[in-house]
Amino acid sequence: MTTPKRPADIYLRFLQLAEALRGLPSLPALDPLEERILAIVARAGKEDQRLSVRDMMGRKELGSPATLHNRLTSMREKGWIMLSDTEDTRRKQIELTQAALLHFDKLSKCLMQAAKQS
Amino acid sequence: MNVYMVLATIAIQGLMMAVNEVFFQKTEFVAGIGWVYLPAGTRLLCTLLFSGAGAIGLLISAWVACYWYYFPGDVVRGTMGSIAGAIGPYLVYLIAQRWLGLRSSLTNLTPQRLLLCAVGCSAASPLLHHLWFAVHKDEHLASGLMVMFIGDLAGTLLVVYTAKWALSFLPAPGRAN
Repeated sequence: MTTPKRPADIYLRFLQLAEALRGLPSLPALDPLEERILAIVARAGKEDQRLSVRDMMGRKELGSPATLHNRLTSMREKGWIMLSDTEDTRRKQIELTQAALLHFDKLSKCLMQAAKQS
Repeated sequence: MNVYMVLATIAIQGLMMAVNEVFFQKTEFVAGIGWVYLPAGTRLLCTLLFSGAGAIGLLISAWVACYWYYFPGDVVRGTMGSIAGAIGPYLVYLIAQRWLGLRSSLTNLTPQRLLLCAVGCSAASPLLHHLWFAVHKDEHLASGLMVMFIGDLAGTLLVVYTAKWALSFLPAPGRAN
């Protein structure tokens, strides 16, 4: 058996295990532009607004259509947004995933906590 | 053999069994097999952290729990259940060392390897349990095996992700200042 012999061995093992645990996959981080897109999608969802890929591409402040397309694809792959069907088969509605909604729940809790402390 | 490591494993495992009974007893499929089994997660962590001593601790805690709680007075069921529960994760640990090159110092334990070990442990223990049930000619082998695997995997993921969440409150190495 390979039982650690010194207390230091256990601590070093614990550090390695902690490092592996910290690296476990979770919702990947967004870059600043993706965060702006996420906020727009969240607001549109909250107000039940129509928000298709084409609507997003119409927003010039978010950059060129190619940049926006790349970011939307990246955000879908990371699990933040999804494209759902609408009555118009040519149009897909951009919506937050359940994981993204949980992220917003967490942010809300942090804000409430900060407001209570101030 | 470090007695403190064995005792620490018994304490952690005992606590996790109690937590599981409080929160997930209602998810039991049949006696001793549930859809969520949290101690499977601590089995993995204790085996990785304490290796052989962890396996001994798991064996003792599982035997005590089986003999006095899950299957009172049934020495054979308690012994076989505890062996399957403790040996499974240790076998996976040994296999990971041999085939994945996992060092006993855990210096090359990556998140991917940790997840592989989690899946391996979630499969090994139910397999060993059901090997015994098959010899014993028990019914519902396939459904029991599936539920036990899902329960162990769900419990393991819950425990490791709770540990990951708990670690997020501690400063990460290199960011302490």
